[in-house]
Amino acid sequence: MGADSDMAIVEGLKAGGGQRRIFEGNLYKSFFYFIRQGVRKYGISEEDASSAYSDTIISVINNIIKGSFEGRSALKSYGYKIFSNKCVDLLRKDTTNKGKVNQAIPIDSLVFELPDQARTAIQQLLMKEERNYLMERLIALGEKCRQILLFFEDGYSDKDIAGFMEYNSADVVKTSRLRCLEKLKKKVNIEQTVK
Amino acid sequence: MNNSLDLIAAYFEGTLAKEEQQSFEERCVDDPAFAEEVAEYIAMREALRTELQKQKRSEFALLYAELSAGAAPDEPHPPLPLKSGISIKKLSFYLAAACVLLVLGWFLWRPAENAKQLSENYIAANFSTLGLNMGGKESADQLQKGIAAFNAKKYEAAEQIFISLSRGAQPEPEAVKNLGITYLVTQKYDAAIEQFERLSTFSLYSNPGLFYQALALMKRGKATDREAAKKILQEVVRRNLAGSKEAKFWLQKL
Repeated sequence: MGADSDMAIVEGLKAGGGQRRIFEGNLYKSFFYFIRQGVRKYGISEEDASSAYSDTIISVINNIIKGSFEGRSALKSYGYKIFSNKCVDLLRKDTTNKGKVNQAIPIDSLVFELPDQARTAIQQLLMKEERNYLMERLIALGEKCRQILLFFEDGYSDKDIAGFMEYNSADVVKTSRLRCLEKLKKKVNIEQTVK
Repeated sequence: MNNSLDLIAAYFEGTLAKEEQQSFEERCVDDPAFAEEVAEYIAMREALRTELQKQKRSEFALLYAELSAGAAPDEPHPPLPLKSGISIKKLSFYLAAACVLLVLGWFLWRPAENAKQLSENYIAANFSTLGLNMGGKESADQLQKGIAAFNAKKYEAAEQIFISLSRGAQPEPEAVKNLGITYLVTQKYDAAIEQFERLSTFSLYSNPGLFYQALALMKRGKATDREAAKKILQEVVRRNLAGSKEAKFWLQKL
């Protein structure tokens, strides 16, 4: 894959809209052969290599959308570095229990966007058990709310979401998704009080 | 609308002014109740991200199945050398014959194979372990026991627990779903289809019953199963039921 194809994928992902999925698929297909290389180089199963590869592509997409991929290296080298790290993580997870320790707070958590002092204060409050509980409530939130929140989490703009879900405007989407978050929050709070 | 939530969302969406950002960060340190709300917000966003990643992994699993079945891209195949003695007429005949065989092969074999491959891939990606419990409080412990047994691959024990929870006057939909999945992974397809059909009659926020029923039919692969699965998938898409995204994709492949 050359610089032109890299640029087409990066621009396609950044542009958002309904076309983004196509570029996500193209990115996945571009370096599909990493999976076989992972199996050969790290001696992991094809299932593990394909799961590391999926996670790699998810990371690359997130980084492109967030703007943290600056295009200083080719997508292939960038992706392969992430993929290698994920394969090594898998190997470590198999031989030690480090994986469990690292599960506490995800490395891409929003908490790391806060400055040191504020981060320390918030980190103490983030309990893994609560997150699991939240997952349960999320399932029961209702399809429309779940969908609007997932689109936003996927980096789509409110304008894009308005188009996908037939809302009148981006502002209506913004109000609706905050309402959905409020609804989720209430569900958790009420059920925790009952508990 | 909760003002704190607006403020917290605005901070993480980067729409606050510099001074507001600073005051937000100070409040996280000085105001424990506010810090609690920020932690709740982050936890909610993380739960959403986890769910999103799960969905994306499923989508990529489908792509993986599709690409694994064919040749991997970026691994170029050298062009086949032509024997100089072959005439254009003969070559055209061979090419035409190859095309007929390919088309015939596609109609006879590929759709059925696709259905099986798609279902197997979905099952491998989503049903190697069971997820969270949405059950009622009284039955939650038993349900968790069933899930633990399933995840430990003790399928018989899991089956018994899910059967007991899915019986009676108030059957637990989550148990019905898990019972269907247990039957599916243990290749008891008829029983799986029956449970998923039953699941589809429950009134739930998000009901994957019909989608799973189609999945089980695709996996069972009897003569009429592919057509039946297609009809169900069309219904899933039309009613925008759980699984509609996969259903749309599968319908293009079936």
